[in-house]
Amino acid sequence: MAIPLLICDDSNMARKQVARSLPDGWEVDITFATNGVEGLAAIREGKGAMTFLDLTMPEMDGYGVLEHVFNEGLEAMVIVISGDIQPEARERVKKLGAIDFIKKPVSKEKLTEVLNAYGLM
Amino acid sequence: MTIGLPLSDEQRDCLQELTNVAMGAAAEALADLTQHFICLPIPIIRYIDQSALLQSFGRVENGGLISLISQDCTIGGIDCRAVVVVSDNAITDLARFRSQTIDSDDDAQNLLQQLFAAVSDICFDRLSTIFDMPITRGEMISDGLHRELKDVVFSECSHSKQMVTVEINYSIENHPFHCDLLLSFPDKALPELVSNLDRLLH
Repeated sequence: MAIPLLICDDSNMARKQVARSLPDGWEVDITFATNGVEGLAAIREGKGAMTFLDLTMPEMDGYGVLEHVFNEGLEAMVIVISGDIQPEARERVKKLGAIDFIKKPVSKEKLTEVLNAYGLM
Repeated sequence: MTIGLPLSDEQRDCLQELTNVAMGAAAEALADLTQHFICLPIPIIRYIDQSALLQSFGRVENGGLISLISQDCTIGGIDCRAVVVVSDNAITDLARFRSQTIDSDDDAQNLLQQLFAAVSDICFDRLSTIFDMPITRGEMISDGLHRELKDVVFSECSHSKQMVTVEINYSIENHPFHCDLLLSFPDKALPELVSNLDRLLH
């Protein structure tokens, strides 16, 4: 069965870049969200079992989404994909439950490596 | 005055995303310099007349004196000017974060140059990598310490009547420190900018 996959980023270019970087043959049912509010709604609807999440977004940022996911006990494996490479940003998202952090721009090789490392594909 | 952006939605989105990645790299250097976590904004892209340029710095000014420093750069064939503006209070904060004292304008100038290096140099280096084009830097111009925003003349911030600007407002969480980076692409740089955005998009 296809995995519900959410790609949440305010940039159309970034969303496409993530979608293009998905491993070949990985069975996923993709939903796109353009800000944190849309992303959180999609996760609540069960569309983000696997979520790729940007941090800097309008309406609600990635930290806000992670806080809601954590506090509401929502089912979502979240990998943050962000240009914010401050070490503290990485620490903060991991404390909020993100399983890993990938620096933008994402590549197919890096995404595959991270998914393999966590046995997610 | 903000006028119609001479970029398609796709090109604007591309420029915003590239800047987002570049400012993220610069934030790491700024966090290191200030010893604080940097809150990253969403870059604001506008097409403005020179007369509206200084409005971009209103939040930094906040009624006090400001200091600014600028540099012209060319990435491939894309001309751009970077202006970093901070309040005098922010320079005092920066000195305190670094356990330094400001005993003279030279000390303040030195801190301002370190700030510029963290914020602007790294941002440009990252943009150069993303565009995969070499960068040529002009002379760093210190446009002055302890100035009133109203006394800054437009030509110090831009050499074009109209320009595409990218405003990046760095701040520190729960602290009044702000530092603004303004990238301006003059009209004559737009064909080259657009061409390279299209290259990255397609």
